[in-house]
Amino acid sequence: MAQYSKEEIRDLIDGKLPWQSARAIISGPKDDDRFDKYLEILQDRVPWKERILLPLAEHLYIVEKEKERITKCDCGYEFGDYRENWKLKALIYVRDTEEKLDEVFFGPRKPDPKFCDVREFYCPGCGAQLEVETLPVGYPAVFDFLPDIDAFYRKWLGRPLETEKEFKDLTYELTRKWGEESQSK
Amino acid sequence: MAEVKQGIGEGGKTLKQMLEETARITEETGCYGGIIELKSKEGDPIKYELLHSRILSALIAGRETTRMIAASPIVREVQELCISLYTPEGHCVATSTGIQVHIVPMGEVIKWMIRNDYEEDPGIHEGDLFCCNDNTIAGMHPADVYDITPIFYEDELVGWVATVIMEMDIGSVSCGPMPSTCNVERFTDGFFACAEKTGANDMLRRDFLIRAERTLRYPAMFLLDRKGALAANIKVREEVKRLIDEFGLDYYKRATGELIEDSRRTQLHRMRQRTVPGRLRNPQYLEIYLKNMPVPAYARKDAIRLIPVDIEIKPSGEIAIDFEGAGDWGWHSLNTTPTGMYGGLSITLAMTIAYDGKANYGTLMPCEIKCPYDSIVNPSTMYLPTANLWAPVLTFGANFLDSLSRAYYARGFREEILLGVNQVSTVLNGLRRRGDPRIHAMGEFTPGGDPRQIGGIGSGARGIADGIDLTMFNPETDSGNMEVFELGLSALFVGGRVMPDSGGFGKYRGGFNLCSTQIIYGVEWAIAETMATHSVNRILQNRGIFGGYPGNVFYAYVVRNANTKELIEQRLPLPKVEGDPRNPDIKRLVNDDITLVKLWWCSDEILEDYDIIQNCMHSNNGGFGDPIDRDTSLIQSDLDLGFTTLEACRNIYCAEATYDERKEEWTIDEQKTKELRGMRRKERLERGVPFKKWWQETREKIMKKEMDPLLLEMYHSSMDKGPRFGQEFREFWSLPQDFTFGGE
Repeated sequence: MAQYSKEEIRDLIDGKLPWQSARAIISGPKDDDRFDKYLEILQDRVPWKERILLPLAEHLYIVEKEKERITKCDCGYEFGDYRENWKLKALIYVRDTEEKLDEVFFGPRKPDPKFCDVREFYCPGCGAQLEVETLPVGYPAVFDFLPDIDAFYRKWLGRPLETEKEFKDLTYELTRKWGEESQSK
Repeated sequence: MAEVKQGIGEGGKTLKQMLEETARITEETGCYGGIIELKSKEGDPIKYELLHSRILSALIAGRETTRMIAASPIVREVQELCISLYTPEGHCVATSTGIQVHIVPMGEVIKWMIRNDYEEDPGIHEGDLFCCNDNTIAGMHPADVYDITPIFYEDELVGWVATVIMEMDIGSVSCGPMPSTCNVERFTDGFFACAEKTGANDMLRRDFLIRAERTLRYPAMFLLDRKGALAANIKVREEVKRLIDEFGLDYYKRATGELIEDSRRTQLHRMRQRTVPGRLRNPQYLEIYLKNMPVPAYARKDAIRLIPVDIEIKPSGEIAIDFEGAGDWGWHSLNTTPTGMYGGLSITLAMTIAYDGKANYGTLMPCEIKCPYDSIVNPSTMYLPTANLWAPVLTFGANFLDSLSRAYYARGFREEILLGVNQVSTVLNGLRRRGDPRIHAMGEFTPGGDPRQIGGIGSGARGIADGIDLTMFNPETDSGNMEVFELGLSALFVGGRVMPDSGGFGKYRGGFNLCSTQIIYGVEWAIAETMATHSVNRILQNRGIFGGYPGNVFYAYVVRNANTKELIEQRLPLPKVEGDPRNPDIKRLVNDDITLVKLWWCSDEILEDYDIIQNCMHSNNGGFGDPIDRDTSLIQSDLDLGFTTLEACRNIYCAEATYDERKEEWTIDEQKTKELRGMRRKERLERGVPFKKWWQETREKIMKKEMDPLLLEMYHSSMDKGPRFGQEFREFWSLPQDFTFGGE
């Protein structure tokens, strides 16, 4: 089994490892202890104490908070249960005019705002741009990745988490509530 | 008592019996062919690896043989071919480098022949050759032609070798290998060989050659490709026989089965080792613009089709892909097939997670694809064109890479992240003035006409670095000589350059794309049109990740009645590159009739010598991460190379830079950059609205159906394609259960 030091993994994920070394890691057999070293590196970097269960995206982590599992930004902002699409708790800015699009897509390079939403999702805590969606107008926010954390820890890592959660998309429970609020107004 | 006819398979079985038995025992045991223990591998691993290496070497040598015989630059230089070895049942054992998308479809053609009793009629014998490019049997588009040869050892069929070659022309209504706008039903697709016996005794049939000569625009290319494929197949077949002589028939059969089972287990292991189980989503869309195209009335309409992509990485490591909600099929060339989607998955896996040269049928075994019947991914009629069934496949492949990248990221294997792209181009159709009057100009494979020829498109970003600039679809492909292309085709390549800021912005940006300019020359007439596989029109596919932006939409400039000849005579500058996209060189330097092509397009007037086509080959190659997290040394490097503009540096990356004319280099002001980035975060917090507020406003618009009719029709087409998409759409927007986008 291949093995790399924590420093090598750190430099690799930061894009700092010399290309020849990175290339060798890409081509070679993978290191089975990668995940643990990866978590250690990331845990050392965040300013909060909750245990990282899974890195979800740049700036975003699924963490264990008391008996809950939540999506959390490295700035500390909490998005709620990880089974709910975190985008529903983010700030959104939609580039839906030619002028707004031209700031990013120069001249003829832009999509047609009548057909395409360019949606930017920001962390309400720190203003990090967490995701950009380009979708047909009207398409629901995409729940990019809903990890099956319990299956991962139990079956793949062989160390089940203490409290298991049902593998279920909870996003629609929130939108149902919003819909009921809209109707009651 | 009736005579029981012996089959040509193992122990006198028919191939059909073997196919059914292998399927049954695989289903019962969960292992390919019931191989539970890898006895050959574990008993003598060196011998086992040696057999695989010899097979692989024979396949790659066969591929090289074809290249030496063929005349087509697509084969000789671009290397759009691939050779695979199959079991008697049509399961891929090993495949050469090249267009590995065909691992599955070539095997499906073999299975189709078996199921259709080819063993009885037309018969399968030593020295036979079968040809297929009918994608309703299996395949990726009619220009990909399969030549398939059985391998006999002492009167027993022990396998098949199949070669796929992409043709320069397949005689369709629009010429070129990926014809676009005019193919609206099956009978516009051109030349068909429907798993046809085209040779015996290792010779091509003369009547088949005559048919090709009289129905294709480039018959010489086609026929030399067939001869190249035949030579390659014979070479591999004879090497397989030598291997059996050397290793023994029983060992060969056992070990080739183990190679498949081994790859199945490897695929599962790698998924469990490198990813995280769960559900990944990324929808794709296809835009079809035929309303103003020269096609029959029944096809003359615009449509947008949605294909939701739901990928599940199961706790077993298996992959389940579901396209439920894919919209209706239609009379255009962008419908695909389940086999096509498996093809897309096979090349995506073979070039990423199954990269070790052992990708085969086993790699695909733990992958399930569900294509709803009677939809654009699984039409209920065979009478559609298949010219571009690649289009949804390419988009799916890119989506799959994007989604898999999220799972790699979660597990810590960021170095495996590679974001997908879309393919873009224009094609040129016409009549040459020089040479053979039957030969037409075909721009897809003119320099710059197709991104693969000169590495015209950049990859999406990687997880530890920027995307690869000017990469190609097949990694081992060579771009080919411009001069060789110019010999056969009627356009002169006059310039090409990286387009600054053409990769999606991000912490790591997409690789850069090329702007390529051609002057039409040597034609009686020419017609240009867009390639229908370019699926970035009005709507950008969702290609950025973790805060990175997607790339850009493809466009081209076409200049009719251009004054290029005068410019050349007066030695004035030609518009070789795009320049500033808001004030392009072509508009400054050339007179007359300039068309900016963005959607599907076909010139309604002929193009003549000295007219210009300039392709800006934006491939929508997305960025990774928030652009304001980009390392300033990368920004400086791009500035120094002219790959990014000061506008992008300041406004997108929020970095302040100054140019030292004496040193001819840029310097980043780190302190100012830090301030600019802090200000950008504040701006975002001010302009961003809570998602709930946006949701409420958008919901109102959806309730009132306030969107373009094409989008309303797109959603309507998908809402009843299986229960999930419609239900989830209604639940997300909290719409009444009976809400539809119909016109009632």
